[in-house]
Amino acid sequence: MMDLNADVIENATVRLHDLFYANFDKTGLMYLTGRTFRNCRLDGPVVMMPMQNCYFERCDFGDSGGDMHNMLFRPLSPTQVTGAIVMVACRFINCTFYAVGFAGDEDFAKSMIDIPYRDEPA
Amino acid sequence: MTLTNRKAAARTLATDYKQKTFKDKNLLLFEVFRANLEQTGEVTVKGVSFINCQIEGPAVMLPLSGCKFDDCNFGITHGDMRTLILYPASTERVTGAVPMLDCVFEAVDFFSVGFTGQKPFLDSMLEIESRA
Repeated sequence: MMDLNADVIENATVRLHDLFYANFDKTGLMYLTGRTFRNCRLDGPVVMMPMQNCYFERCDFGDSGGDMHNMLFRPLSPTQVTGAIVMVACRFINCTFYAVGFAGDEDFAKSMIDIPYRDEPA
Repeated sequence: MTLTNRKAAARTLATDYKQKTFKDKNLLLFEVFRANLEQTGEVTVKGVSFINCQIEGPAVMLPLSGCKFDDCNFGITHGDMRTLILYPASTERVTGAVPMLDCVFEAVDFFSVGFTGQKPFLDSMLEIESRA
């Protein structure tokens, strides 16, 4: 059985909600930190809030309907967000996200919106 | 009204999520979504009533038309309702939120649940603070 609290999770389908609760049960923390996901499918419905140098490489963020705005949320408060799963300094390599939205500040939104379409001609 | 007045002690952990009415239960919103998806094949939770329940996230709820909130505690805001609200970057659709249609929330305590939706709804949530 997969250890949802492992530092590195590879080649797995992970429900982010289950991941959150496994982490919470072990650490008592409402956020995840320093985790690596490689070749994983990450399932929502969840809104993820990546913070402090989360790293995404070769990831498929899911069905955006051709507009990355459809994946993004702006927290209205500058100091606190409720309902999103906060990920601190986590790495996502070759991962696919299903029903996962992303929350963050203006800079994060810009970095997401600048992602080119995969089927764009070179 | 306090949590005690809401008979919080009488609430029990929900085990069967395939219900149309939840009364006096502690619920995970994700499990409501999952049970609904398994039962109906739909991602939108439709026509479910929650009476004197605690609904836990982490989740972002997208209340659609016909949702009613009566005597609800939306959670820890530190006096700032903005902490519960996430503006969708798109006006067309959202990803990752749990859509709820024609649902009733009566004397519900939310914990770690954020809210998104169209501006009139989110504005109405911000109004709650001004009345407090």
